[in-house]
Amino acid sequence: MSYTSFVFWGRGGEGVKTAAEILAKAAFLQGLEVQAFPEYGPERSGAPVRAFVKISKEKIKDQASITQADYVVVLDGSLLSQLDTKNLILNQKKAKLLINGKINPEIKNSVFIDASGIANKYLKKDLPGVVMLGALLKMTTCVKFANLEKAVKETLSKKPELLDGNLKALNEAYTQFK
Amino acid sequence: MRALINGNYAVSYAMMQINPDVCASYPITPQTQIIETFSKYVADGKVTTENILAESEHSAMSACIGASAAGARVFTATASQGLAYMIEVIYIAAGLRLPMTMVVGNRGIGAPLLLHCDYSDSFLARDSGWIQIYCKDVQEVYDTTLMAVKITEETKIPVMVMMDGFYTTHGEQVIDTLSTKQAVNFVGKKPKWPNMLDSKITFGNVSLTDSNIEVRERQWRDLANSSKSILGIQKGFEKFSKRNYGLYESYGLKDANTVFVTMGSSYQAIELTCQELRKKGKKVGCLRPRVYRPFPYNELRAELKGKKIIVLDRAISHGAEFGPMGLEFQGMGREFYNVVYGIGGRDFGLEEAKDLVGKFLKGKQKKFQFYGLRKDLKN
Repeated sequence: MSYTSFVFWGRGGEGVKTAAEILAKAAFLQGLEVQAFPEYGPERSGAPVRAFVKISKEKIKDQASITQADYVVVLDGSLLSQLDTKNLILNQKKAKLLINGKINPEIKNSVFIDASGIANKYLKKDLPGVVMLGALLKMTTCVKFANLEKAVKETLSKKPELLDGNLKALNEAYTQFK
Repeated sequence: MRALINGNYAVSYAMMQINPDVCASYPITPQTQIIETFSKYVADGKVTTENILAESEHSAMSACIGASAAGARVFTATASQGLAYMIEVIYIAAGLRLPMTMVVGNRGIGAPLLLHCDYSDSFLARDSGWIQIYCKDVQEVYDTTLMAVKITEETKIPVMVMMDGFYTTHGEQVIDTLSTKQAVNFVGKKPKWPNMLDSKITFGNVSLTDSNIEVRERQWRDLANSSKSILGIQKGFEKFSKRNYGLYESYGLKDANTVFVTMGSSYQAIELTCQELRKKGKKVGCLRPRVYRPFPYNELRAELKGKKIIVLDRAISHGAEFGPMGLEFQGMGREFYNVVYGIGGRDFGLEEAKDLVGKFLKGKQKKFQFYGLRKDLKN
């Protein structure tokens, strides 16, 4: 069985779970099979957290978390200057990494984006999740941009103060990121 | 309708469709979302349920007992320490033969404090006289929640529906939901049962040495016989939903030499592993008990006759020779092994399933073992 797998990393409160949910919803809107689940623990703002997404054309059966991902999305680059989380995040065989932070040539198979910069510009807050998704769609074509945009609208419909800025930020990330 | 939804939301959605008379509950991780969303349905006027937010699980179950004894269709949810705190009244609900549905998001019991999945909470109520059904994914939880309402009202035995904490409670999956009309038609009108408001009957009578064993024997017999109702209701559900459920699920049993037995979401990893190995000509199979009480021991014994069986246990029976599931299966098959895995939510995915199955196909293994212990935590 084959599916495309994503692991999202960040810190509690940065929107890791929401970013994973938006990607899952976009795939769902596209008619694909999908699974999304966060890794739960005692919830603490600022603590490292993970969320997982699996996307496939076929029914996805196993519900276990993902160790070897196709894509690893790091919402908070500071996790890579912390030895324990750095080892966990980089322990990948085939994954492509998308990292919010300054370019670090030592980290292989990775691309970098200043997602916090874009988020701060439009949201006045460091919530880089949606920006990262915009850039992620330049690395994988498994979800269409229009569906991602729709998923952002649906997910953030209850937080109108974040919606407009996020749509602009999404657009900028998608058009600017190469 | 196609929906992207997690196990907790699927349960409260199913219950919203049914609009039960009474819900009495207390929130606890990992089922809190059930109570949260159901309370929102109440606040938004989507249901007319009397929603009792009790001060403890013991009180919540007590309120369910009172409501059911008064003839109401009743629903609740719990997990872990909450179920443990409820246990005294869980036995009473079963002893009084009161219909009700309770969903459990499986989570181990402390100490040490923990949040994640194992079956030590609902196994605590294994001998209480409830029907227990363990689900593997969100679709099954949604379907089983609806079926449970019908099963409990037909059998007058309370029904507990289990899903794996976090894997299923919080895992968003794509499922097919029924229309509310379909759900309501399937579950049907609540039958009338003798209730304390309009019948001259007493609940909670004394039954001492002169009659207690007879009452218990009847309770034991009725639970054993309830599998007929369960199968009938599952058939009725299959007719229009095209989704088919048995007392257990299996793969490749017919000609398998070696069979792996496991419950809940871990079954999927084991099944995928067995399917892979089948392509390489290995005669392996797997089996998942779904209805755990009443336990279909006759059917399982026949299915497993002459086979080497490896039973995976996500719970421990401290001081016993095997785990709780192992104790159920120890007399079955030609050769028997028991493995404790995934305690406290230790992940058991495809890699672990492949590794474990591979070990048992390769060579000699201990009769009883813990799988996947960390070597750096030796004590």
